[in-house]
Amino acid sequence: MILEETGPEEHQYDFLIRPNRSMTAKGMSLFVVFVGLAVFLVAMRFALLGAWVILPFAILEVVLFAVAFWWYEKASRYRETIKLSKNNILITKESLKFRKSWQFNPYWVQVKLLPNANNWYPSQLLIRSQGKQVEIGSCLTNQERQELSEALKNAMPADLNSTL
Amino acid sequence: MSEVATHDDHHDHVPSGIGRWLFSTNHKDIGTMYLIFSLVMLFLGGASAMVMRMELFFPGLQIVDPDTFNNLVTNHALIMVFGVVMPAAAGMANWMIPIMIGAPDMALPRLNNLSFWLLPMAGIMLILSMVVSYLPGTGGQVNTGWTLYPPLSVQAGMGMDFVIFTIHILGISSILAAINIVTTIVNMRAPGMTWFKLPLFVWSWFFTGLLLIMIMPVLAGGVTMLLFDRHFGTAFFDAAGGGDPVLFQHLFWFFGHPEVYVLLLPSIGVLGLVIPTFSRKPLFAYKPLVWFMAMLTALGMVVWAHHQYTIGMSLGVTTYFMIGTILISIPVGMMLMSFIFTMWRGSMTFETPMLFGIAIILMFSFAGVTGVMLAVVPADLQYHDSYFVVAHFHYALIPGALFGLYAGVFYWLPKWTGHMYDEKLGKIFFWWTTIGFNVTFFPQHFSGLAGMPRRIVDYSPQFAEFNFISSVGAMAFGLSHLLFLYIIIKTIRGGEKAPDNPWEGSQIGTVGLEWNLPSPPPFHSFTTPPTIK
Repeated sequence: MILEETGPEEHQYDFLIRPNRSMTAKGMSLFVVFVGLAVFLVAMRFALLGAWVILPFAILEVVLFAVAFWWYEKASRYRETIKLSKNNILITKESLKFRKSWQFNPYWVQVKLLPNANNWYPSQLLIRSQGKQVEIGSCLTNQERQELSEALKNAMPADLNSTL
Repeated sequence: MSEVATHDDHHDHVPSGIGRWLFSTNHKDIGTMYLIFSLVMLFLGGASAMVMRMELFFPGLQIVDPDTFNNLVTNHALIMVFGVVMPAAAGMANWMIPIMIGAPDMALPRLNNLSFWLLPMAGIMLILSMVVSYLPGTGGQVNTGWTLYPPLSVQAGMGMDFVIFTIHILGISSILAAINIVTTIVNMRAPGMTWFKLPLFVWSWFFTGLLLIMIMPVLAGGVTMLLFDRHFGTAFFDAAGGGDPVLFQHLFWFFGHPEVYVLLLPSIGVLGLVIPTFSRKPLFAYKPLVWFMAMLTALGMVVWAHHQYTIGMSLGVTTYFMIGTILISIPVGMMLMSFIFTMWRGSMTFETPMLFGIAIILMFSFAGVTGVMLAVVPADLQYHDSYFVVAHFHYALIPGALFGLYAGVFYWLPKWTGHMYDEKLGKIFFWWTTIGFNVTFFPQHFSGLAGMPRRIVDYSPQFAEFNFISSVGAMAFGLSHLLFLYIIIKTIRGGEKAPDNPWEGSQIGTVGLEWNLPSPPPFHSFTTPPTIK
């Protein structure tokens, strides 16, 4: 998923890249609450009939179910941001475990999309400059990576487009 | 040029040795292990059935004593339900769901490893439950049947404790697998793979997972209460101590009846792929079919006491359960109609998976009819605990669950192994197993209607002919599985190279993404999500 925004200053672009997640955090919470409530109601009914031993098992299971979703939600919070201005490109990769940034000068940078030879493995989108390179958009689809590559090239200062 | 922050190209890396399997977090490897485990257990559960049918060849006691026979009845059911059908369906889910929805793996791969490796432990414990009863001072066999009704189960020997812990371990494994599958389906669909583009198999596992999450705590609680009654002086199910043995029946069947749908739904999901593929038509009424699955899931949760009509429930309660049970025939009937209309005027071909698909529709409908007979209270009071019930649920579970899995195995073997299976042998297996199955179980309707009780080692000579035919059929049915094993091994070892998409009609309707991958798929697939248009 790519979100593109133009900043307040002239020639400023922000890109936000996130992995695909087919349900929103809010949707996940509602789903967990719905399933948890149903399990809990069943267990409560049997507990009222004297079968209280079901209740701890049900609670344990609902906790596990919630933890599974929470874990997945946490792990899929990975994001990449690209802040592009006339004189600077700031690339930041962050997840709950790490945060790392790279800076480049847009006048010396190359945006390179390396397609896989047999088109089976994913393509790679690299930002290169002066012996350094950073891969971006590895969590995107091939098509999205292509679009990101085009968008980045178009967002570069106009007089440099021909060299990219 | 220095390399900074580019991810390693690890796509071709495949771990080797025993570690690949012991510590696997790869959904395809874990799926393969599930399938192999269920195949092994199929032969174990089948062998116990063969011993039972050998014993029942003629009236009188031939080869096993009554308690051993009843222990075989218990183990046959537990093995087939928990060791064969559920792991096989979970194996297919593991293999297929991620590559159908375009996900790189299951949502929680380490949990996936744990949920598989609990199974062999449970299998060993289940075998021990039978073996331990032959040791001195262990108190006899587990002669309760899989329903484990008290007071017999409270009085049974040490083997019962092994069975209780087996059920706990199997339950944990099932819950972990169900949570993982539901989390995967909810969160990891590729962009564009919206809910109503999901292949029916994925939908079927979504409902199966939810059912398992709903029912497993009740079974776990029920057998734990049994354990407490056996060893810790409680009286949950002891009338003398203020408890009620009927409570256990309610707990067991609150789990047990939805469990039937847990076994059935994945196979319905396979049918939802096989029938359109070999009819070369999109699945008829796909969306209503999904809603009927949801209806089946919901109704299946609230009709459990039709297994207990004879315990003396009030008229109102009995009527409720009767009407609810008869209502279930509506979603099931609509599903079957949907498959029949899919075939209507289609360009049908009859490869082995399709043969199983058609057989399921015919024979499962038959179980549906006897099911409605059993749902009617006055009739059920006559049929209860007779061989008619045995015939009914084998017609429901063998075509409804097992044949669906066979259809799935033949449908996906080319994808899994990269080789086409031998179609001629596949067809021989189909006819052999289908005829064997019908010869075994069709006569049991008659012996049941004539009054032969179930779970019995000896019988009145008047049932001799029916039982002889049943036993002959069972031997044929059992032996046919050696051919099944041979076909699988032959396909794994070699044969005609399977194309990426071996079935002409597999891209029609709501299809998964598995056919976009090579056969067999690479170790890591969809590391970048595909786009669905």
